[in-house]
This record gives sequence, C-alpha cells and structure tokens, in this order.
Amino acid sequence: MRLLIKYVMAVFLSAITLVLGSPVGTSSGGSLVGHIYDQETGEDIGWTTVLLEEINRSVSAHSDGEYHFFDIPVGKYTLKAFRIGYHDYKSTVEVVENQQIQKDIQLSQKVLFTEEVTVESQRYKKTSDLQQPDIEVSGKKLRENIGLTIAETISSEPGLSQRTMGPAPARPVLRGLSGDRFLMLEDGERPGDLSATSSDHAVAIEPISADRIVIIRGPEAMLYGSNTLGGVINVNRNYIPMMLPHRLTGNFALHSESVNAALASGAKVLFPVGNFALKMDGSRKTASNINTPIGELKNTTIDNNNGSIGVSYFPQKGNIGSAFSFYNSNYGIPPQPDSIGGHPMGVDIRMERQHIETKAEYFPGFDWLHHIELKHSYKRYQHAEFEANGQVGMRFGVLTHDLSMLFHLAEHGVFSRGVFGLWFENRDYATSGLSFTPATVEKSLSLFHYNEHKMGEFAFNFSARYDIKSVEPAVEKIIVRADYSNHIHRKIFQNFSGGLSGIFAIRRTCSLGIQLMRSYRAPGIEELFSEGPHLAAYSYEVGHANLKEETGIGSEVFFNIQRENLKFHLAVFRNQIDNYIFPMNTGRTSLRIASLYLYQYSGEDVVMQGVESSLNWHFTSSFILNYSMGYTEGKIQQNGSYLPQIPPLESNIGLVYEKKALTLGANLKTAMKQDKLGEFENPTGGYAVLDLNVQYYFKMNKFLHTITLTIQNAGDTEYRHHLNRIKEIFPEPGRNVKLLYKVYF
Amino acid sequence: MTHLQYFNSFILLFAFLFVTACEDNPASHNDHDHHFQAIGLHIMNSGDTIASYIGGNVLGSINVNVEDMTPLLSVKFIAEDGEIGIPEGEEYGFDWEIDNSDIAEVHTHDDELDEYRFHVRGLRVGETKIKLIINHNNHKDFESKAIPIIVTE
Repeated sequence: MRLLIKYVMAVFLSAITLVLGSPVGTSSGGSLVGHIYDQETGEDIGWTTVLLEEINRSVSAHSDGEYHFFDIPVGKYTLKAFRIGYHDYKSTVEVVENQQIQKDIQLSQKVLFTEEVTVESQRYKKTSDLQQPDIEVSGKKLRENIGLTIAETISSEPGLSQRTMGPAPARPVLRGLSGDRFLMLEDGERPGDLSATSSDHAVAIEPISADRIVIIRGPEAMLYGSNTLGGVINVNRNYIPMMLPHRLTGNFALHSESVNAALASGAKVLFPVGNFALKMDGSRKTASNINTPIGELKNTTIDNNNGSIGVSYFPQKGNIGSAFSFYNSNYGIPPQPDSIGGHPMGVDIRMERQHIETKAEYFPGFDWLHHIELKHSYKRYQHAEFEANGQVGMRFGVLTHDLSMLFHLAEHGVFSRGVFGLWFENRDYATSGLSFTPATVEKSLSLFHYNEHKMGEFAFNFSARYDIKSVEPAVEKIIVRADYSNHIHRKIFQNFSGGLSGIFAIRRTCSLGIQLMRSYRAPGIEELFSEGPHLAAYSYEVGHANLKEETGIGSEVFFNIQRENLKFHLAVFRNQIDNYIFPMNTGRTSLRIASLYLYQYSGEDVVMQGVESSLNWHFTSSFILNYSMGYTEGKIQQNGSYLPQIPPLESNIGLVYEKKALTLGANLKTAMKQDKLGEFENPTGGYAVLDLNVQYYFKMNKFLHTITLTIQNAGDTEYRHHLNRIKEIFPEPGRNVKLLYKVYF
Repeated sequence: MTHLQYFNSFILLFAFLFVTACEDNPASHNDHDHHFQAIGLHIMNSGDTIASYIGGNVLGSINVNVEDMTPLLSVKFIAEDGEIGIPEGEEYGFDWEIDNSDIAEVHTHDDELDEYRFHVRGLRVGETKIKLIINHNNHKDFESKAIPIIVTE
C-alpha cells in the first residue's frame, strides 16, 4: 500500500507539471461530433470505433450511433471508422477553433457477411491487406470460446494448443513453442508472472476481463521480444483508458461452467470527468474440482479475483494515464498418487500480483514522426506452493520494472508504418523454502525497429533488434553436490535478432509470401541457477550456469486467399533452434528429496517443422464452414530423438448457421495419436470431440444483451491430451455446459 | 511549452516513477546456507546399521514381529561433505511417512524425537515402507527414499 501511495503521488505531481505546461487553456481547440448509420437501411450503427489518425485519438460510438470528440487541436485530420461487417470508412475533416464540426458517417455492409457483434474497439490495422493477418479472438469468437484460462480460450485457433497441469495453469503452445518462446503480453507488456518458466505456474491474466486477444506473428512480433519465432499473444485489457468517452459506457458479464461448477462475474465501466477518462473493472471466479468421464479430478479448485482502476488525461497534443491492478489466485495442482514425484494430496498454489503502469503519448505534429509513446510499469508478483499439510515447498517473488520509449514513424514515401524503440527491464527474482537458488537481478536493454512497406503488388515487413542482458546473482559460488554441480556467477548475453517477410499478390485476392526470422533468447535465471525442489512440477530442478544463448532461424512459406466470402491460409514452416534449453529428466531421483525426479537444464540443437492451414468459407448467406489444422514435428538433431511435449496433428472442423441475431454452431475437434515421444514420455491415443454452440443477442433500452451457450465435449468422450502433464492419471474434462451472459451499455 | 520542454517533462516523470517503485522482494531470504544438507542416512540399532539410504539406493530393512516393538532405533544422516550426524537447532524437526499404517506404526517420546530416535511397532503381518524426513521451519530439508518395514509372525 505504501508503494501504491508513493507511486500515485509521483504520478500526480508529475502530471501537474505536464498539465500546467500544456496548451490547454492557452489555445482553444474545436470539437467533432457525428452520427453513424447504415448506408442501405439507414439504421443506427452503434459501437463503431472512430479514429482521428494523426493524434491517435479514438472513441467508440454509442448504441444510437452517436460519437463525440472534444478539445481537438485545430487542423486537418484523417477520420477513420471500423466496424466488423462493414467496409472501413476513411475521410478527411478539418477542426476549426471554438467550433463544433458535424461529420456523419455512412457505412456500407460487406456482401455476404452476416451480422457480427463486436463491441470492443479496434485501433490498428495492417498497412496492407496483403500482409499476413494476425489471429484475433474478439467479439463473438471471444464469447464463444471463453474459458477458465487465456490458453483454453484461444486453443481452437490453427496451430495452437495448450499445455496444462490441471485446469488453472495452462499456457498456449504454437507450433510446439511455448513458455517465453511464445510470449504472452498484457496491453503490450510482459505480465511479470512466472507462467513461462514451469507448467504448474498459472498466467496472471483473467479471460473474462479481456477485450481482445491478438496473436502477432512474423517480423512485427520482434517489437516485443527477441525470442518470438512463435509470435506473441497480446491480451488487450486496456487498463489505461485510451479514449475519452462522451458518457458512461461499460459491460457486465456472468459466466458459468457445469464441469466444475465454475462461476465467474466481471464488470467494467468507463466514463468521462471533464478531460479525464476514468476506468474501473473487477471480476471474481470460483470453481470446484473438475469432473472427467472417469471421475472427479481432486485438488483442482480455483478461486480468483482481480480488479483495476485507470485514469487518463487528454490534453490537445497527446494523453497521459496511469492504472493500478491486482490479481489474486488460489488454485490446486492435482495429485499423482501412484508415481515417483507425485503427491498423494496434490499441491496448493497461492499467487498474487499487483501492477502499476503509466503511459504517455505525445503528438509533435512532425511530417516524419507520428507520435512518441513512453511507458513504465512495475509488477510485484509472488506465489507459494504448499503441500497438503501446509508446509511450504517453495516461495517465489519477482519484482519487475519495464520502461519503454517508442517512436511511431509517420507514413513517409514507401515506408507505411514504422516503430523505432528502446526497452529496459529490471527483474528482481528470489525464492525461499528448500531452495539454494540465489536471489538474482536480471537487467535487459533492447533497441529495435519495425517497418511496413508497400510497393504495388509487393508488401514487405522488416524488423531488427539488438538485446543485451546481464544476470547477476547475489552471491557467486561453486556448488559441488553428490549428484550435480554448478558455478553460480554473473552472466552477460547479447545478440541480434530480426525478421523479414515479403508478400506478392498473385491476383487481387491471392498472395504468396515468404518469411525469415532470426531469434535470440538468453537463458533465464531458473535455467542458469535454480537448485531446489519444485513440488508442483514434480521435479527437483538444477540449473546450468554455462548454458549459452539460444539462437533460432525460422523460415516459412505461406499462401493466402482473401475473398469477401472465403479466407484460406496455408503455411509450411521450419524452425531450427541451436542450444534449445529445456529441463531434461536425468532419470534419477534427487538424493535430497527422493520423491522427486532430478531435472537438469541443458541445451540441444533442435528442429521443429510442420504445416498449418485454415479455411473460413461463407458458402451461403447463412452458412459458414470453418476448418483449421496444425501439425508440428520436433527433433533433437544430435541423436534424432523426438522432443517432448509436442502436440500431435490436431484439427477443427465446424459448421455455423447465422440468421440475424441467432448463431448456431457445431465443431468437431480431432487429434491423431502421438507416438513420436520424448524421453520418459508416454504415448496418447487419437480422439474426436464434439462441441455445440448457440449465441443470441438483442437490444433493449440502449443495452446490448448477448447470451452464449456452449456444450463442450457433448458426447462426454474420454480422451487424453498429449500436452497435459497429468494425462496418465486422468483424462480431459467431461461434458461441460457453459453459459455466458454479457450486457453492454 | 516547446517540444523539447514536453519531452524533458515526460522523461523526468518516467525517471521519477522508475525510482519510486522500489521495495524488497517478498521472497527474499538469507537462509540458503542454513538448510541441513543431508543426502542419505543410516538407521542404527545399538550401533549396528540395519538399513541405509545411500547414493540413491536403499539397503536393508526394518524387521519387527506382530504386536512387538523394535528396540530404540537411531537415525544418522549423511551430509554432502560426508559428515554423519543429526541436525541441531529448534528450527529442525523429525518426521516420517508410512505407506500403510495398518501394518506398522512409529512410536516415539519427545526426547527421542529430538535425538532422531524411534521405535517401530508391528501391527499385522505384511510389508510396508517408511520415508524419513527432516523438517526445517515450514519446509522439508530432506526426504529419504522409502525404506522397507517387514512385519512377521
């Protein structure tokens, strides 16, 4: 609390300095208002995002189609409007001093595109339709797939799977890459949790609070990290309001699941106070033990709560905002009673995270520079792992500062959109319990650039990045144990990474592309210095301080069809990673804690290659066929053996019927058997699981109500997922009836 | 305000924020060097070793008759450096886990616990296993492999 008070005072005092010096009050701006309606029917179109591009100021139109911008600097602007189901709108508008300009917007419907209700705003679009589309889960798709975790919510997307260890700790896997090789971000920032380091650590992001989940792949992903062969997942929480609403807006959600008696609720409000926008949200989730077709999986309860408050100020040439959030989670890791490394009663984890961030954007009005973005965030994370008798196995604490400065370049010649940036992170890591891992501080500094270009039938994306990282333990020492040894000492890593993709338009709706990426990943603290039991992961982990950095070369060829009624994507990829670091099971138990297997981190040269494809075909005005598949094979090059924890061939085929406000869907999820196994890994059989879905929405008194009913595993099929760490003990959950009610205002 | 003044103000703000948010790590501690670093043990009866856990292997067993009790058994732990002894200090505690407590049970008195000594009573004919544990504050410093207990007529 003292920290929060200090931080809030710092923000307040500093903001006063900025506000007093800002042009507000010394020069007058104008305002822009308007009404958005359907060009064909004349009906109001609510919840449309309207953007003034030059100052990056956006608002969401209200349910009656009205939008308002206040206190806009005098000048000419590009006005854009986005709404799913409609063609994008672009126009110019001139704001005049002390005047209110009226600008109505007519949107035309996309042919054969049935009604979609997406309420959350969309601020950025690719420069060219040629460029590889990001995978986006928002609006109807987000409501249909929302699960207990972010990983579960996006797991039906092509090439994606999830690594689980009970229902709470789940981490997405893309093309066999997971952990910090497939970065998970919250509002563009690392969440500061430990989910990337072990399969029992949960992600500290609540799905019901997410506005949108976007998976960014290719060179653009290098904006967020040097190790993004898999890409990055960005969960838009919008802690800091980036738009000044005209009046109170928000939503309320209620979500239940039958398979574990889960109940979640969340609410969010955004409202103006003069030139300030204030945003508050909160959610709570509880779940009992999960049921499978062969019985209850013990110790899988979940009890989460989280909340945030954010405020932004909008002077004429930019904005500045700050937010605070907390996330608390108590969850269980199920027992493995009959095996070495198991715990007869399971392990309980108590996790908490607090986060404070401040963000400012400044629009200098230069030809070449669109705006400057500065961001600071501080995350305080801790979790403890308890045995059934209340004994602490391990306690982790991580304090993370992130500071970034981004220069967003304006369109200039062939350069369409670009970012030049600097990022610094200070990460303070400590453990207690039976742990010999020294307290360690990691410092990382990155310089990076990304640009998009379009020249006729060609489009190019390019990124380059240089990273330097020091890993400094509190004490330097040589450890010689009976069963392993390590030399704890300061390490410094530095290297280049980058990416290039080129896309050629074969025809107006068909394109062929190629992508090359070079990634770099410095070993983490756990991989270098860890020494101690990790109860929830059923392992005694030992680091290896002489590990070298991972470097990867990723190549991909892809083919896209983007027609109004048909979208098709096919990609063939190959990722070669030298010195791929992973905890290798030594096959021996720890001498110190004999119930745990000894895992020691080591680096091997590996290759992961595969294919993925997706299809979205509106074959009539009401029927849509969806198909996606992904296959990855991972091998250790030195001995030709398979990598562990690689998913088998997985696919989804679905049929959707949409008529006005009603949507009916059925989806068959299939997986082949996985018998390409890593050391000490067991095979899993193939399966087919049917999911059913109904969605309906209606408007009443300026409120938009959405109801989503989903039946997962409708046949109550017993199946085992290869990336589930406890698959030998229990199968996946049985039939699950999920209900989500969400109202927007 | 000029562009430069604006920029400087932002930089000052963020530098201030960076410095403000400093605190101690919630998991920081200094007891890394105070764990009892055992990697094995001997179970002794009147100076003779009857069972050991050494080098990851279990040798020997605890044998007892039904409704009978073993003599007082003492445990000597083998440390990383080869020293043999028991932990000293109130922060350490002796504990055990028996697979099947219908076959055998452990009997101790308080002073025996402090000295890492115990009796095993046979309850019915059969075989079960015992793990011996050193607790340190609220975590385990050592847990042996399961050592057989054989209960005969």
